[in-house]
Amino acid sequence: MTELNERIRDFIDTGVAPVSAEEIFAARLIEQAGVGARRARPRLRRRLLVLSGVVALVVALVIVGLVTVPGAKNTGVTPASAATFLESVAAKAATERPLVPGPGQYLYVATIESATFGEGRHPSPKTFWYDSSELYQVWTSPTAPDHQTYEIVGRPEFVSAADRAIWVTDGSPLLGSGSDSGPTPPYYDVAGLPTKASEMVAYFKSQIYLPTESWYGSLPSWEFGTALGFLQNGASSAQRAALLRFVATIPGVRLMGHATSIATGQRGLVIALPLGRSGLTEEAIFDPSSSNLIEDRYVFTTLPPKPKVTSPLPGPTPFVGEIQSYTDFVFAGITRVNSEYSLPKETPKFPPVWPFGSVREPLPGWLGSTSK
Amino acid sequence: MEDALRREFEAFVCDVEPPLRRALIAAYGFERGRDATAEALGWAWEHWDRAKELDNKVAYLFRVGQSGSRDRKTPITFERGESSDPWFDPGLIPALASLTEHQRVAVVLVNGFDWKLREVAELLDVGISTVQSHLERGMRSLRNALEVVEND
Repeated sequence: MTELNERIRDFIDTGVAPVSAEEIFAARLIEQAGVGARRARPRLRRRLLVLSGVVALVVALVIVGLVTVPGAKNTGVTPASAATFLESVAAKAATERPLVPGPGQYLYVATIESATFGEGRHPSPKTFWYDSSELYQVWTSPTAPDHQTYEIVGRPEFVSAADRAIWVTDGSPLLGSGSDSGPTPPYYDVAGLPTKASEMVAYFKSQIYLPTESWYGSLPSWEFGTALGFLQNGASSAQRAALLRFVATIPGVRLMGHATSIATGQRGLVIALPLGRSGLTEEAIFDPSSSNLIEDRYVFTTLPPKPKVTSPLPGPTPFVGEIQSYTDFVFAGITRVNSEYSLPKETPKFPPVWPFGSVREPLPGWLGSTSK
Repeated sequence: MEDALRREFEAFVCDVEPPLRRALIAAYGFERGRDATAEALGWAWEHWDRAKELDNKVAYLFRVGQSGSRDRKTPITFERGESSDPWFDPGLIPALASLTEHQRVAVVLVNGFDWKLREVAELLDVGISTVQSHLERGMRSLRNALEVVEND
């Protein structure tokens, strides 16, 4: 036992260098100078996206589930159009059924999330890449221990034969997504959400379970991403209306025409926010007949600048129109009392084989995690 | 004035960084764990007046680091850089990665770094008995994976 404890300690303490105060000071200076790389999103992109050079063409053909060229956009649409559309959606939200758990109840939300992952394992020094679509089922309650329970299932699929070969070299390990043993899904505490748009930022800042502004890299991006997160997680009619009116106030938000969600195939109107130098735009597809947020996705609308430093994980070459990742809303409802894993009676049946409609052969093994 | 603040923060980092880094690496692996540590300490520097008054600094900053690391699509890895000591047990990588996040945090902090169950419970915001359960299950899995025979 003692030897095992020492091995654990040595392993953890010698894996990476400590973080120094000088590093924090320097990072702050870079941020103040405005030349610092965005923290999380570039790292996410570097690891999510695939290979490089000629192989990028193969990838473009293979990961059809993730990559598409968005349809025609309404060019020249003014920001006022976004505000008008969001106001109309907010007016609908104000009349809709509230989704707030009562005492002992849980809010149940099902979404489909998809992205491409890279993993490096021993003994191969190379990285293999695979696509993953996952069904997220999350039960939340402001009064429950840990606030939420969740279940995530999906199936990984290799991007190319070369990736499969690397995976075999590494001993064919069972694959897990970032959610497999990573952090739990973000907890959106809708109970305390304000009913005034002007109070939204202060409430977002008070939420310690959610990504911070520095994680997003800019204030509009953080406001937009956080508001969309809440919009996919229930709330009362007045709260949803306030969220939508708040989104309309975020600088840079545009109405971009129609689009169809990838996994659920629903058509709606796109509200978008360009994310600066990253080349990405976050797009939210709303159902104009309700206040439902059908899909939240990241799309390359311009090409990002080439990195000055070569990444240890060979990166891909993104192309304009490529959808980097998406989250599709499936269903939300309230469970019966004192049962964090029960399904609301209106919950749709999910397909037994994952992902939807895929004709590609899935990998052996099962991908998923649960807090059960 | 600025120098005094910096010295104060440097002392804070000396005190808080090691346990915070270990906890976040246990949860998220080397790369993300270190990034999350830097994220949390960056937050502390930006909110220094508030951070220095926190009751349980490590537990609070752990949550800040978690928030900064809620990128669910980035895999956790325990891969080590080429420059790091090669004399580690490669079996630990898949063994640790196979544990759940809470099991891994409990095992690493309690057995590796002598944290008390109560301290881990405060860090994870769960009950002590829950930590005990995570610890026992995690150690059982780890022993099985590494074929370690308990002899004490």
